[in-house]
Amino acid sequence: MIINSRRRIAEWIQQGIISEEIAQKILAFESSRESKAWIGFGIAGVGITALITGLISIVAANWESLSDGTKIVGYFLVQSLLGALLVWCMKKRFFWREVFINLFGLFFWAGIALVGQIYNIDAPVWNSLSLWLVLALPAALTANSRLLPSIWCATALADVFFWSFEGASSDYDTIRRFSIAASLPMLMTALFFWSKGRSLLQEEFRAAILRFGLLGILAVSTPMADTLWESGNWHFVNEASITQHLLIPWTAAALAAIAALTARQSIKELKLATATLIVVAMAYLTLPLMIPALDRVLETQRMFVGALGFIVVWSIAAASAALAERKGLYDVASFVIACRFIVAYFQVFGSLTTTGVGLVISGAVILAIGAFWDRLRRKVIQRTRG
Amino acid sequence: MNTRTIGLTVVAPIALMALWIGSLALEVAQGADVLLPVRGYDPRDILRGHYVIYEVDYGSKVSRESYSQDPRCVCLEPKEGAVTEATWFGYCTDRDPGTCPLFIRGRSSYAGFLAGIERFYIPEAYSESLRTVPDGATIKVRVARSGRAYVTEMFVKGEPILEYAKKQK
Repeated sequence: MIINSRRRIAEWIQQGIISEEIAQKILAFESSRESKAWIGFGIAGVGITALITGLISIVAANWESLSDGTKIVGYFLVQSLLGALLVWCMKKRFFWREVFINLFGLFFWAGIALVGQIYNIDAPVWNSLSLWLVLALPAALTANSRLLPSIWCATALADVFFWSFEGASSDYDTIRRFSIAASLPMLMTALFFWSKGRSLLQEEFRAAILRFGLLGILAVSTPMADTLWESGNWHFVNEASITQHLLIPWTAAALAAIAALTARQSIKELKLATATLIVVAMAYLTLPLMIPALDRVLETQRMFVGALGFIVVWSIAAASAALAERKGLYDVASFVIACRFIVAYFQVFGSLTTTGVGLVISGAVILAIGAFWDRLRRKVIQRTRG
Repeated sequence: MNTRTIGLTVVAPIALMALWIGSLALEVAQGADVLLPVRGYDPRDILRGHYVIYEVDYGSKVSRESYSQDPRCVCLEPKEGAVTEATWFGYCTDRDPGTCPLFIRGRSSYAGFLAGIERFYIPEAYSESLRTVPDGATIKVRVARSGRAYVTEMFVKGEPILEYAKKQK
């Protein structure tokens, strides 16, 4: 780390960005800070890894000879020990507090798996995920590092996904459950905007609910919606009851849109773009289930609407990312749009690609999209720097 | 961090976990034992991880039906040391508690009646000897008053499965 700093600082002095005196001060500060942190943590880390590996090896070697009661008592001892260590480090040692809070939250998995093994419980996956979400929620809310909040949010998304598909009695039931599950990313996004500027949630948890809320809305819902539009064979769900069920995700989307529009510490255009993204994404996902006799519409027309909806949702996401000065999300969004353009091209002119003319045209389209994307990207970089 | 936050973060989840395990242990302790025959149904899917996967044979009263969300029940009459057959099968709402005090709650599917007792944990060391469910395999099931069932032991012709697996190694 200090070697990199020296190299960069030498470059900055050469370019006239910083003076020799400031460079010396930076190097002195970095040298004292890094030696303290990394040597201590390195030695402690090696020691703890050896200790834990040794303990795990001893337990694993004797696992079958341990009684069920011993295993459960052992589990509770380790879980309580992690809790005690967490309380001990709570105020003074930030690094160790974060290590123990993550271990404490994640170790509940071991308890759930152990009980499943002892009682041979063959329950659906979502049952175990839901139990862990409840047990680890306080730790995830208290953590000041990214790991546990991110795992918690990812598990919440996986939980509703498994709930949608495990144990659904019919295709109709799967769609009904999926519509309800689509509410979760909306509610996560709503919670992020609602808590903005209020000291209710830790910054790491807020960042995680936004990241995974957007992941659910964009990366999970849009491919699903695209498939729903293309297949269009949902006439069996066009009953009054499916519209009633869709009220749940629509209410969640409305809450998220209102939260985005009324968020504190945010520019007006970004508020509007985010609210539009939420509403358009929900409409894109649920309209193929609501339009009666969609399967009577020509397949090419349904495919066109599906592709158009996909591009529109991701374009609004790219615009929101540019307004929020999130270069990473902008890059991802524009790359996905480019990919969808190429997929749409192959869907329409699939047979032509076997010919030389088709290949020339497709290559030209790909290059044009690449050039257009690069131009826009440069603008965003300039904007974020400015 | 104040005492309330510490209590919520550390003590409450451990207490909840203890409550869950305690309720499971109590339910299992108060249940009645039945012995049910089992058989393998898919030779490619006998072992999943460390679990032996099988199909429970409830007898001729239980038929394969399409999947349904509505809970189904099988009524059982325990026989000391002998395998039990279902005496009744149908929707749980139609069960007569007078004639059917001991029952297992589950769901119907194309794979048969599923009650969450279709797997049994075995140590990895015996996985080679248990590539197929042996003939004459049975499971000992503890049936709680709520209709939930837990597998407590697996036998091959009356011999605990691990003893059987040790001999096969």
